[in-house]
Amino acid sequence: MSKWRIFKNGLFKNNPVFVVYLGLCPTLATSTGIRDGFGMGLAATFVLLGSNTIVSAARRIIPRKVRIPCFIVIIATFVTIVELFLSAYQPALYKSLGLFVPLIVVNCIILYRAESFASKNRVFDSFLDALGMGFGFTLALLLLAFIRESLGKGTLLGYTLIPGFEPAVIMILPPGAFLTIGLLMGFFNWRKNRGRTAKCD
Amino acid sequence: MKKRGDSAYNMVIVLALLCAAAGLALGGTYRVTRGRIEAQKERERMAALRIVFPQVKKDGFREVSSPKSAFAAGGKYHEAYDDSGKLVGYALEAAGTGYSSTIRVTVGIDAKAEEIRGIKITFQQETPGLGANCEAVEVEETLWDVLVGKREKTPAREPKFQAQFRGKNLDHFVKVGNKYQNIDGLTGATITTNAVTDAAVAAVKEFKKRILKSSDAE
Repeated sequence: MSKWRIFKNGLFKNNPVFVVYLGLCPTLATSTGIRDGFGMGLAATFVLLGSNTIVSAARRIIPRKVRIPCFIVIIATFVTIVELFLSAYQPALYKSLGLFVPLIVVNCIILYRAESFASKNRVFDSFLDALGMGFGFTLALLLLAFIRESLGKGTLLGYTLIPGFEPAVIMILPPGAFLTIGLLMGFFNWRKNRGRTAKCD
Repeated sequence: MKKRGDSAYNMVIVLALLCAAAGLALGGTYRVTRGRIEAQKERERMAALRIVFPQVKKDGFREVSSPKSAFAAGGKYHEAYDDSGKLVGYALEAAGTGYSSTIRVTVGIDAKAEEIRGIKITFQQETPGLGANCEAVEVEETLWDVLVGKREKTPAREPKFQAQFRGKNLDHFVKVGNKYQNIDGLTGATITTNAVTDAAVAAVKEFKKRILKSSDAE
């Protein structure tokens, strides 16, 4: 696979949220606003880059039987580093994301790429893969956040869109999250499947 | 992943080395960021104090941390002195159980503990759009204003819900049944409204009882 293909893979064709359906919990929870969604996306991307690179670099010395604990140690270390830097340099964002920063450790996307790609490929390729997957995750978050913030708070990036507009609060609560993501997934699936006839055996 | 190196010896060694490396990385990062994190916390503490007492300068606040103050949330409170050295009032920490979190409030009171000078909610994780509106600030500029460049740097406004506590005497807080008669509650968030008000009022009453009455008795 060409370098470009490796990177592009995680953006649309195998988007971790809308195609592989991973990392849904933080996606739903932090997509209430563009600022939060973008912050979470970047934080997760940073962790992905770090963990994919290290896992790939160490792939010849990590024994197969303890690979998962090893991956978790690596991932958790990067998440803690992100936590420390966020609380030092972006305290407002850190407070906003709250519990979901440490939860990046169990974001399935990260373990998924460590196990399916980084442990079997070269360092630079793993880095590109992490970049693509991280950006794909961020794009999904931004799309959801754009819809939810504008409809649920009447703002974008904190600035009011239409003065006097009473937002539909449900959009920033859990039901709104599920509605939005469900409809989006349905739409993407429809686009993917149109023109294909069903196989009847 | 290596298959040959699956011996118990190898597994232990690799995991141990990995954890040691992780420990080093984390220790290093902690050292680098610790100063800033402490500074942030101090800044937030100061900000809350300055909001409830805008006329008091940073060094006008004196922390009181003694057995006498043990009853207060955090075991301490602040005395506020203005430029001429006069005691303007006190700043207390209050806490109350909200709907989905423990809400923390800094309450500024006058020197006689009869009037609430102002409050600042320092921590809450209430429902977004409902209870969380206790910290909502009305932003007048629209996105269009920002894009067009019509942006005036307006100073950060006080959240509407908290602003109504300014300069209110203790007997303003009359509660009939489950509702404060003179407080504009948050839409659809009675629990949050009451949690904040209860916490502030209770803290003032407790403070009055413990600190001021006791000095009267001496």
